[in-house]
Amino acid sequence: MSSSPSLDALIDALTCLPGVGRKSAQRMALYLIERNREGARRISECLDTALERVGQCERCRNFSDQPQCSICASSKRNQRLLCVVETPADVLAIESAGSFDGRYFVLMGRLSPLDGIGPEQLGLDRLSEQLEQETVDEIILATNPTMEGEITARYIADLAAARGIATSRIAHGVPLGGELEFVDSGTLSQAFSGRQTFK
Amino acid sequence: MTARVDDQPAFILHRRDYSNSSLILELLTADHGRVGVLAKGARRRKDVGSFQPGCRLSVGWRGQGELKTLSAIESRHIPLPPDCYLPLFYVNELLIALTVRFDPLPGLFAHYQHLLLSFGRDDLQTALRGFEIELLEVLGLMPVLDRDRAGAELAPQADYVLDPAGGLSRCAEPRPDSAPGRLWCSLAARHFEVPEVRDLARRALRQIIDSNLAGRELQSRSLFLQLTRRDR
Repeated sequence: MSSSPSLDALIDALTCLPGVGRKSAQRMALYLIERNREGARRISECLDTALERVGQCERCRNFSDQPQCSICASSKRNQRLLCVVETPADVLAIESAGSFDGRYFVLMGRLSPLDGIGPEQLGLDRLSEQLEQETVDEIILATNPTMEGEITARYIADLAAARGIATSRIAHGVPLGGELEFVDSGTLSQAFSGRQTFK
Repeated sequence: MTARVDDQPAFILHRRDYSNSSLILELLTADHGRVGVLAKGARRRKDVGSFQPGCRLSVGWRGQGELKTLSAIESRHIPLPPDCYLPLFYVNELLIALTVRFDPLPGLFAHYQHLLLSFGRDDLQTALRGFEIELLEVLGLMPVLDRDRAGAELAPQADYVLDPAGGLSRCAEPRPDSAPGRLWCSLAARHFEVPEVRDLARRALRQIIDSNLAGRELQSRSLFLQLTRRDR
């Protein structure tokens, strides 16, 4: 405990961050108060603004300041190509790869019956409405290659099939530049079962 | 509760992320029944992808509390057909709902292993009904189905209704929830190849399971029913 209750409160608050324990929180708090008060003020203002403004895009459920995010509102993106992902972090990863020019639907999770997460919690009723009302040529299922991710992909593929929409699943297997001897057996068997014709 | 256990065969029933790099695993073990373990740093492992429900492990743990700390883990990936993922979730949810941690439940591990091996090879409904019966028998929750509640043999053509806690009672008139004695005897002998027996098994086992869940709904069963209804 320090001589300042405000400093103690700041240290306590910082421990809510992932990977930040008491010791790291203390280091961060002392740095901000001791050496970078301007930086601390900026963090505080940005946090206030973000908490006030950031909501969910009404179309794709990704985080956005506006009712529709920049990707959903963009005329440069192919709005008929839909990629379904589990989290906003997945959108950032795909965007940084730069190879996809369609739009997204962010589930904010995956079907996990044992954790009580069903279709309603993932907004699949909203996705279903969008598939009814909008023209979608293809759905790319980019949920994670876990069992829950596969069940989620299967559920969405069924929604799409009922409306005659083509679905595809992202490939899983050996990473680029990887060596087979260091790949685990599960990934390797997945790579073999998902092999493609070599052209 | 044993403080230290080594080289224990186990299957993963459920995994949940914990803090930045750890997992909480719910395991079905060969000698200790259901066990909850904290696998510190497991999400940083190269083979973390194989720590999925149904994965066969060899584990060791230590600790005095209810949640043990994993001290050793080796995984062996058993590929399951994707169609069996949801049934596996159902079975795992059922196991977690009906069992308590550290009840050894002899034989259950072997029945679970047999079920996983039959996935993709045998008829799914037959495999599930067979496992449900084994589970209820191991837990002592399975009523006698080839005799009435007084212990008398069933009359083949007479109708009987099931009380999950008490057993079968004869009813004067056929009812929507009754079935003839011959079908109850076939169910007791597990003749699931007969469609009428399969239907009765599904209905009766659901009744017995639900009566032991005390109002709790199995989420995976609801999801499974939603998906199979849409497939029809």
